[in-house]
Amino acid sequence: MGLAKLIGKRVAGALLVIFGELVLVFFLVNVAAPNPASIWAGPEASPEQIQIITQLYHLNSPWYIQFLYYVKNFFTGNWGISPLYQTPVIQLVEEYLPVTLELAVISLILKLIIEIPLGVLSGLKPNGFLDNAIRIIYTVTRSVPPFFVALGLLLVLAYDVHAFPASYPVDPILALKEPKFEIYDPFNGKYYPFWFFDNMPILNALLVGDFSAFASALDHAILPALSLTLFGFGGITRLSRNSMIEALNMDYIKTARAKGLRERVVIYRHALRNSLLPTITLSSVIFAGSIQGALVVETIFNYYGMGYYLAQSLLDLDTPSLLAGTVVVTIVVVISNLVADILYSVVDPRVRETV
Amino acid sequence: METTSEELTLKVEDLWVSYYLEGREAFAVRDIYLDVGKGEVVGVVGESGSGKSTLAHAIIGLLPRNSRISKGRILFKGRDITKVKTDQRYLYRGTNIFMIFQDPMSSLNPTMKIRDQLQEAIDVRSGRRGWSVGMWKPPKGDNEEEIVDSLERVGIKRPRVIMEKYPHQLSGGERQRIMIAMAYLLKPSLLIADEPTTALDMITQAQVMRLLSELRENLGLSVLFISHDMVLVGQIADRIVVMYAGKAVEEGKAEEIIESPMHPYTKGLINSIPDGYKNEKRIESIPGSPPNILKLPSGCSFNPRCKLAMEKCISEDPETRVLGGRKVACHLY
Amino acid sequence: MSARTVLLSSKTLLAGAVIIVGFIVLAIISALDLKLLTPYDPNKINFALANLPPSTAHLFGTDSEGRDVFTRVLAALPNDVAIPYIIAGASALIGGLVGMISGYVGGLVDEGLMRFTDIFLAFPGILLALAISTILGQTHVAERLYFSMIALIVVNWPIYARLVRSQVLQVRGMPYITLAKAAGLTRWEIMRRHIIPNILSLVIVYITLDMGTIILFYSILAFFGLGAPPPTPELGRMVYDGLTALPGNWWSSVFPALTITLMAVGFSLFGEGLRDYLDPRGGDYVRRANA
Repeated sequence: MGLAKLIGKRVAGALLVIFGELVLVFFLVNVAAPNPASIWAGPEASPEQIQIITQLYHLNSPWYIQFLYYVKNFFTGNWGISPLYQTPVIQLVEEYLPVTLELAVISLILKLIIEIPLGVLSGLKPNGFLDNAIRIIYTVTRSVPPFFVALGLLLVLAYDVHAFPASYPVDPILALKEPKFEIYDPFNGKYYPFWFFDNMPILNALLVGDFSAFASALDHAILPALSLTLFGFGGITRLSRNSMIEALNMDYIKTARAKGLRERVVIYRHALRNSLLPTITLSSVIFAGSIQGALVVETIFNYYGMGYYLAQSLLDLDTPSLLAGTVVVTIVVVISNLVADILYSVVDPRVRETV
Repeated sequence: METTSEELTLKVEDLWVSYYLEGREAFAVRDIYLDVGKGEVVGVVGESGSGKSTLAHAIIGLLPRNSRISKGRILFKGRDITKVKTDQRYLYRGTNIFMIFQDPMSSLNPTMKIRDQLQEAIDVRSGRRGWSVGMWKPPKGDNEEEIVDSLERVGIKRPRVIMEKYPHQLSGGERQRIMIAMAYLLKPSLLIADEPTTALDMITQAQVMRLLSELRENLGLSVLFISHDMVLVGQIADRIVVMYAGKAVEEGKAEEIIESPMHPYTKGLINSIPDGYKNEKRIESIPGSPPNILKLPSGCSFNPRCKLAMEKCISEDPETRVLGGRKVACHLY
Repeated sequence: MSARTVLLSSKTLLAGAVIIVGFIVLAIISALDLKLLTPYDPNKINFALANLPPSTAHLFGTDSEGRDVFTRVLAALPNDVAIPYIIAGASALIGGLVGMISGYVGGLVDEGLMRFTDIFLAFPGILLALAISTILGQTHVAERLYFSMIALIVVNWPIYARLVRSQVLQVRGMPYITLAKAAGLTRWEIMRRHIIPNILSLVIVYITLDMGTIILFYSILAFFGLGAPPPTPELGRMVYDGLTALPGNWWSSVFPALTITLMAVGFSLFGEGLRDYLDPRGGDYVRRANA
């Protein structure tokens, strides 16, 4: 079956990318950097701590031995201890990653539901008012640095109009996290709280049934999510507009019309479906962009997610966090590409054949 | 052929179609009169750029965005369909007028199974054209037998396998057969075939031509067959219209046109046929190429390429003359 | 058509060119002598003048340490204008070389190089650049700027490799290349006479489209303090430093951000105009639309 083969090939490619990132990061720290031990230990480490770190990470062994340990540690969840938080990095990632994923998904959904209809409409009337307006907007939005978008929203909507809160993922008074999701461990016969969904502030509040926390989390997410949505706003619109125009010029649209189908059936069933194909690929690119844009946006809004955590690790030279975070974000990006690829091949039967 | 308009499937009167090109209006179809009787096959022959395809698109109401019918009437079963509003034109397509396109590789939706695309045709025929049909996909109807039957009629082996496939999994010939199967399901009164075999190899071409003849006999429909190939048109058409630079230069019964062409352009077309109809003459081609519709020559559009051109041909566009059941637009007659 | 008529034929192209050239001129003057443009010292701290709003004396106001923001923006220009060009040029050079080898040699070399390129292409670009420059620059603060540039080149070259490779494959398939081979031209001669000129124009067009993205990438690096080390002002860093003075003093972060935006808009307009001119149908060059 074509689809299974395609998925297999894409998964292999994804694993290759993750492995590549591990190699790159390893060489960066343990080979290219002048003093790996002090990098791992953090800038304020004492000589004793550096001693311990050197032993812990096998920094006196030849590089290939170090690499084996490094890969083994990574896959066993042993990602080092953050000198900044004095906490195992994996725990920090578990706490912060879901927050950003939630934010990025919200902004992606916002983008898609606003931009695709706009793109379809401008595609139906190329060079009309809407089309030209979007074109001008996109020229600007793709040139605005993400921190400027966030800054503008912060100044106007938070400080000036007081419409939305300026910082934090949820009102600190309401920040109660009750575990909701549990995973059954058949070996121990115990239930464990599942961090992934529990650490998403909006989803968790909703599932726990705490509606004041839910409202607060939603309120706090609006500005950061909007920043990510506005950043590069118009890209999807331009793409879906172009592919709509292209689709409408295809012969199969003429066939559909010649058949006597109503115009809206022609557009929805025949043109739209085909014109959305490239948007799937772009969505994964945009999702990856949002996760990285979160570095800046979350810093400005003090929104405690992966972006904020990574930004802090950059500024405070918390290298173990930075490295693990880089690899984790790579994994997220690779998975989103994978999902897009698979989705594309489900919608477009031609792709399955070309593998 | 004198018939009243009620008996005609299609009657085109004084049709002018223009494109908006480089900031001005250019005419791709000029002053066309055309009658297609019930069950009749009319061939339209001309080089690329002669306006034959534009004529076809005007009749079915699928002109591109930058073009319009600037003058004339298109009477379908006595009713002027140029007066029908754009959003109601779909009612005249499918079950009334259907069209098969040149490139079978792109004329079927690549993301829909053959079965669904044929089901749509059944839906249209049974009056289900709107939302009720479902937004993304047509519902799996109980018309499977009918779909299988239509596929068998166009000579597709293993129809139950083929109908579950996507267009890219089929050959060009198979796809054009699917288009003909679609015509069987729609049962239109008029079929427009726009160069339906041009993209196919010789053997497939012959098969598709045979299927089109069978279709016409089985359904008793009228056909407007458009091609650049005089031989192909001669095989199927009752009458032939020869178009040049948007005008009909000659019209008559198929055998008369082929046996004794009158217009120098038609003669050129017949002489350029490599083998068969006119053995005694050498193979000739018409010198030059058809004019750009933005820069039409004065007088008769064919004059720069015509060996018999006279002074009058440059100064005056010839009127169409009726000579014993034939029409010709040339100063020689 | 001459370059001049092309420029005048499109308003977007002209507007883009004016912005781009304007910034280059300002950057050069600022590099030669900042005093020609402004009476203030970009680094002189004077708390008596802190947090002054924009006025005729201080066009962009003063920051929380009393420095004139307009002067600091001008002082930052030489670096911030030049660096994106260097990054784009180096990325195009490296990527172009890889793409050319890959496309021209083909076979296993091509397969290997493209796999390698794909891996780089799939990395989250900004984050990787941030990580590279943070880690390498940790012990060498003064050289951080160079590490940042290298980091951005590392994440940016693969696109050029892809672009050039596909172009080489396309040109190589053309009949006149076969003819040139038949005429006995060597590989290098064919490359120099036929393939490179063909690719060069495409790469230059792509660079103008890419510059805006590079400016944004670099501004994010600078935002996190990975640009030129202090005391040299950096537009991105000025935005970050200005955050602490919010909401009272908005001007010391908004104006540097606005300057970055204007720089990127110049390339955005120019690229858009150029693309309209070369491909009037308006096929979008879809790539990292975000980030």
